[in-house]
Amino acid sequence: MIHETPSSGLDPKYIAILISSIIAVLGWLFSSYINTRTFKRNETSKLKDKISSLIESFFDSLEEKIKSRTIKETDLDDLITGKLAIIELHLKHLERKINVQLLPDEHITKVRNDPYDYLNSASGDYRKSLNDLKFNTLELIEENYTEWYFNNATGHYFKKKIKNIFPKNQLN
Amino acid sequence: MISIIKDFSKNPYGRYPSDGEWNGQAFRTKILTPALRSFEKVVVDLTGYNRYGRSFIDEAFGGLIREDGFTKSELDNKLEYVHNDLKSFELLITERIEKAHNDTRNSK
Repeated sequence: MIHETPSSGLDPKYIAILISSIIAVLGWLFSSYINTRTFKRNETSKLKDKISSLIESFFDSLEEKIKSRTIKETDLDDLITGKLAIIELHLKHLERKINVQLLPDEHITKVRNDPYDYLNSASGDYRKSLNDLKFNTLELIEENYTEWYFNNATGHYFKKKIKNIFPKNQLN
Repeated sequence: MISIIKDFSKNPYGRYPSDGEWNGQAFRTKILTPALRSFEKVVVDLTGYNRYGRSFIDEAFGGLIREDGFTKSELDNKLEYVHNDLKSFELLITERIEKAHNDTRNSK
């Protein structure tokens, strides 16, 4: 009859199971992190594109409206308030959900306010001013999106974490 | 505290009575100016409506300086305005008050 000798430590077979379980859990966690990150980025990119196209269509309608030159202040109110409210709500949605501010409030106020002043400008001037405002707005969105995108890149994220743990003066 | 939606209208619109019943001039003359004359501090809550036109905002708030004789420093001390969802309206009010202040100063 063979008797098993009681071992003093854990059976190697159990250690192997334990290690492989830990590795599996870590793998799941990592892939879940990557998935969430990719999902977040795709969603942000989609919403950013939607906002950009809403802004383009907003400025196109604005140019069409101002072109008539006989437009009343309240006609401009109707166009600006309706379309801009939707754009601003989309921007707030992104800001709350993903913590990215594509357009600062000051710029939205400018878009809300400045087109009224173009009503009194000479016919060529309003088109230039409107185009400047349109492209400044679109550029600002792209700039802020790019900054957010690279600040949230995995490499940059880990670099930031490491920097927090070992500030520069501690490393030197 | 004045809530535009509760104390005035759910659809404020336009500058003058010719634009509609719930215009900026009506809000200013019937609600905002009397409140500013009666109380030390007035807070206007714009939350609940997201389509205020510049004409309404300008007449209601800029008109305080242009028409009702308030000064910018008086308004800085007595008047506060909030929109909990869309902050650009708060900045627009600040801008219109500033503009009315500059226009009035330049015309003197």
